[in-house]
Amino acid sequence: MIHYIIKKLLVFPVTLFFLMTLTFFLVRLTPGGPFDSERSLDPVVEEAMKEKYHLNAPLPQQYLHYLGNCLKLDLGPSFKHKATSVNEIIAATFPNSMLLGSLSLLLALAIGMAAGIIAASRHNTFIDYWAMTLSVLGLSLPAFVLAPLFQLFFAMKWSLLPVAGYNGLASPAYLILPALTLSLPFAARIARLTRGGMLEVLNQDFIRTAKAKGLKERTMICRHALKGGLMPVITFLGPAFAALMTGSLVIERVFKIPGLGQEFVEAALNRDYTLVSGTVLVYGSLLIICNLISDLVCAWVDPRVRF
Amino acid sequence: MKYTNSQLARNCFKILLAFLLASIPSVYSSSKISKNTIPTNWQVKYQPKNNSWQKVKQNFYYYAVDPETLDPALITGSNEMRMAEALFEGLLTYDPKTLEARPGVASSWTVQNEGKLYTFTIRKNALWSDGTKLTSHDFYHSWQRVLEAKTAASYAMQLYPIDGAEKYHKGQIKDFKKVGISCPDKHTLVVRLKQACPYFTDLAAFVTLYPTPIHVIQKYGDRWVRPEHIVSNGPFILKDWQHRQKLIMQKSSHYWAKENVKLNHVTALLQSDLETAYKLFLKGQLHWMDDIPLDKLEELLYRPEYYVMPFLGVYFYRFNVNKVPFNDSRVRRAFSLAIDRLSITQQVTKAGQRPHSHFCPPMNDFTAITGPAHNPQKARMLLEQAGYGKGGKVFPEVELLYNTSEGHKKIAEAIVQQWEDELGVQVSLRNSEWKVFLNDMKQMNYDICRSSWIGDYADPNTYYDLFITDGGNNRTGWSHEVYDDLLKKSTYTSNPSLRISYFQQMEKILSHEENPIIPIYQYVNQGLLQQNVNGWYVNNRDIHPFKYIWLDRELAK
Repeated sequence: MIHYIIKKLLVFPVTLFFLMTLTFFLVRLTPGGPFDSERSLDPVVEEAMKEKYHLNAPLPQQYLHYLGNCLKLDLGPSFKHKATSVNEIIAATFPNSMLLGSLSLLLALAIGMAAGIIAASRHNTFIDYWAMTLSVLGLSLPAFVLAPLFQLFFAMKWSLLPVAGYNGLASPAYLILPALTLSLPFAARIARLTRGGMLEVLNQDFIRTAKAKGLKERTMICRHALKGGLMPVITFLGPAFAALMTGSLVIERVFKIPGLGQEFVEAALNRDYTLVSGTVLVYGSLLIICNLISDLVCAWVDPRVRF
Repeated sequence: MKYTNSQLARNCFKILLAFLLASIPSVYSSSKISKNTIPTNWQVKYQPKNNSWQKVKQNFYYYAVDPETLDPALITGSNEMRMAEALFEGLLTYDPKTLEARPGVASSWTVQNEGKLYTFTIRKNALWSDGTKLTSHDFYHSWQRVLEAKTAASYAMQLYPIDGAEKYHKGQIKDFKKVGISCPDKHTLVVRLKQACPYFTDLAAFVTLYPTPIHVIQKYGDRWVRPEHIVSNGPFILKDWQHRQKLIMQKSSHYWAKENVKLNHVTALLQSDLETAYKLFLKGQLHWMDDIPLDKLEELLYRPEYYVMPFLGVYFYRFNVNKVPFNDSRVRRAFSLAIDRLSITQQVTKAGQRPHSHFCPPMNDFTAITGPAHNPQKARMLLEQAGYGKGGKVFPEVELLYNTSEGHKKIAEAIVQQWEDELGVQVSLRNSEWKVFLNDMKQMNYDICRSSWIGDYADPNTYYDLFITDGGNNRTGWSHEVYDDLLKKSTYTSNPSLRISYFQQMEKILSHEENPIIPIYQYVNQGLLQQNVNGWYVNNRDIHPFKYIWLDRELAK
């Protein structure tokens, strides 16, 4: 186990290094540059801009320069947001994505597991069918449909919640709709996984024994079935957590949340090389860490899993 | 249709300014000193008629995008210009209605030497927001900073009319004292121009020529525009700037005309989604949005808050004249004549865009000669003369390139259909992402491509200058000796009517004879403005200084 963790932690920087290198060159290979605009740039100005952002040196030299800065944890200046560094942008936006992502995850778990457990324990009944139909809806309705619909009803028609905005935990009302929108597809997945996992366990011999012993249904489900049934959910949580944390372009735009998701997409569109690389590094790290944690939790919950 | 190429494009190239009208009487009034003729009541005219506004909370909210920078020397987008206009003030300012030059930091100015020598008198009560005095030396050093290559100011060329400025910027002269800017004393700034420039008073009100606090820049470098460091000289100061959330500007206590500023706070809600902004507007949380969600147009047309006004920008197509078949001007003309522009603006863009087949949009005292009318018959004839059509050569495969956007796509589809119907030629469509598109246009990797141009100042020169041989913005490969010669002559003449006749001749070459481009329509600006907003005026450059605005009542919830 310890061995496994150490191995994973050792591979971590290597993976990040490859990720960084790949991004560095790929983003520079894309046609169009950060300073292109419909109006042509004076060659004097273009030269000065390249000089300022170290873009006129040969590529390997630029790469070493960037690598050196990365080791110092300095991701460089943003080309687009001229008065702001990439570090600052990430520091300003990533915590917001984290907050929204964590809330959505809790919400997804609560909704998804509840629906899954009920569906499994009432297998092949009216409730089961309804829960699963809803989960198909949750999976298939994209955020760009759900978000404006929620806004329309909760904010415009019923005036229950604000349209859009963000003020952290200080004004939680702003967080409700985006967290709900973000969590629904995940909740749907979790519901299906929970149901599937539990059904598998519920058909096993030890459950039948427990039933025969006269164990209460609630105890049986909570104590025995749930534990085994949650395995697929835990495996899914790793990538799901990463996906939720990294934010969503649509939700951030529609609900006006200053998160990392739109920084990443716009940086790519703007050819803001440093900001693209910076956000990719954050995403990469997050994904690796989340997968590692999910592996560990799996091993802890299910003694059969050994690394 | 405008802005559909994303806010990117909108930031990068939607640029305003300058007015010919105001300066002409003073510039060309012979060699003797001419003093500006500003009506003394101009400022009074824009004040509220009663005091009811004082009972209203003067907090104004508007839709904006996170600014790239707030450094006037580096600003290129209209979004940033609007903020800089609140925070800073140039020598001169724009009249909010007519856009004529009005006093700013300079209380008056004189023009001598056939429009080549400007003397600005800096007002004695001009202050920076940290309380230090603003003097003529601040302008001297700020303009020097813009012209230093290492500053990388994209709009340094706005200073090029000044004698020696271009050479200094390009490193051809090293001594800034040789550039035509001097300060005889703290309150006088003398500017010597290369040649008479009828729009110089307008440039003096443009963002690139604003003073910047060198004493602060030296201390903090690039980061001087952060809210904790910034020092400015305008009607408002920067209170807070939260990345992608909001930017709050507060009325300044150091501004020389602070009595006339009525808004206490101006908050830019930094937003990118127009649909959401529209919902916030409906909820009364925004007073102004300068753009609309296009799919809501039909619904908005009936709202009292909706406004639409002509804008100094042109939507057009470029030809690659280096490639067959568009190396033949007859083919290019045929393609232009075959387009029914009215149907495009009425059935596709629908917001009241003005269709025209000439290039330069109308501005104050200049209206370009009308371009050729829709004439499919003549178009077919020209195409036949060029050797295509029945019994002639087969028309080669050509492509129309545009940047990915629903709006551009609809226009392109309509035009391609008209070409097919009228000329019987097939033109295929190709779209690409914005930066890829720009790259293709720059490399001239296209046959026909979508383009637009928003003037850098409201003088025809900013339009006709585009198609000079090998000009950086030409991008068609087109070169015409007579045209180049006319352009040169127009720059050097000090006779206004002669100048205009040169422009008309250039227009004739562009849209009647050679057609390296197909002009399609003039842009409009459309947006939403709450009905309690006063002091906001319609003009063709979308300039609405916050210092004139006030709210006359609270919004009904």
